[in-house]
Amino acid sequence: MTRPDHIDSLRNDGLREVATIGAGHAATALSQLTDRRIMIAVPEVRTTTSAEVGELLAGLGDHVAVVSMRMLGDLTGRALLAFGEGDAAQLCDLILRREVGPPRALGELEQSGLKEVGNIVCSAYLTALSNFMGMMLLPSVPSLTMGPVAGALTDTMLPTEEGGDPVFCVDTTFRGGGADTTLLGAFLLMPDHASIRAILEAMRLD
Amino acid sequence: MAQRILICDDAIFMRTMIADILTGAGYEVAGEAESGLQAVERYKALAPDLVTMDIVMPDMGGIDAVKAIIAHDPNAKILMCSAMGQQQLVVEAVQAGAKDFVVKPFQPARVIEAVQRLLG
Repeated sequence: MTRPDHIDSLRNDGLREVATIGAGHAATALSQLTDRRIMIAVPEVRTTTSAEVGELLAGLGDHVAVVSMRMLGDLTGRALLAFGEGDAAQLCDLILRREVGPPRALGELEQSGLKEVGNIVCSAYLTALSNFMGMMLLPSVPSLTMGPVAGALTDTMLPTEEGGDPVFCVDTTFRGGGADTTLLGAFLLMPDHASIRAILEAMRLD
Repeated sequence: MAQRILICDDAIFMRTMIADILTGAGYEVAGEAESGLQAVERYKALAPDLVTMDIVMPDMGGIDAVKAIIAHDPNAKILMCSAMGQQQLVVEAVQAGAKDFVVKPFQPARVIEAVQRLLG
C-alpha cells in the first residue's frame, strides 16, 4: 500500500491539484455564504502528526472553533474547518446578515450556523473531488468544538491509524473579508491511508 | 390561504434561513423537522403542500425520508435543499421522488423560483 511518507513529487503535485480544485469550490461556497471575497492559498500536501495539526490550528489563534466531519463513501477520512474564535464570531455575523460587531458569545443559532458553514464548505470541496475523480463522497453530520487549541482538537477528529501517526493532510488557508472584516480559516482534509491510494489510482498516478 | 411548507434540515441556522425566505414570499411554515424520521412523522401529521428536504441528517437521511414520504403520499411535492450537489445524489433523489434540487449555499430567489414552480 502507498504509505504517506512515500509520496513522490509527481503524486504530491497530483494531490495538490485535486486539493486546489476542491478548495476553489469551497471558497466559492464560503464567498456566497458571507457575501465577501474569499481567496485561497495554494494547498499544502503533507504528512504530519496530530501535534503538528494542533500547531497549524494554533496559527489561527489561541482559541479556535473547529467544525469536524467524517468523509464517507468511496473515500474515507476526516475533514476539519477551523477559524480563530474572533473570526468565527465575525463569520456568524456575516452569515446571519448582521452588522459585524465585537466578538460575542456564540448561541445555539450561531453554533448551528458555523456547523452549517462547515457542512457547506466541506460538501463543495467533496463535490468537486467527486466530479473530478468519478467517486461518491459524503460528509457526515458536522460537530463543533470551541476553546483553546489543545482542547478543541480531539483525537476523534484525526484519522485512526496504526500507531496514531503520521497523519496525511491536505490543508488550505482561506483569507477573506471586506472593509469591516478579515477572516482567516483553514480547511484540512485527512484521507485514511487506503483512500490515498484510491485517489492516486483515480488520477492514474499509482 | 397561504400554502404550507414543511422544512426539514438538521441545522436550526438553515431552517431559520429557509423559513425567512419562505415567509418573506408569502408562504406559511407548516412545521420543521430536524431528522429524516421526524420529517416523515411531521409530513403524515401536517400534510403540507410542499417539503424542503436536506440530505445529510441524523437518524434517517433525506433520500430515505423522501422514499418514505412518497410511499405514504405518491403526490408529495419535495424540494431537495442540500450542500451535496453531486450528480449521482441528484439522480438518486429524483428517482426517490423528489421534484427538484437546490444546492446550498443558495440565493433566496432560487428557492422561491423552485417552490413557485412546484406549487404552480
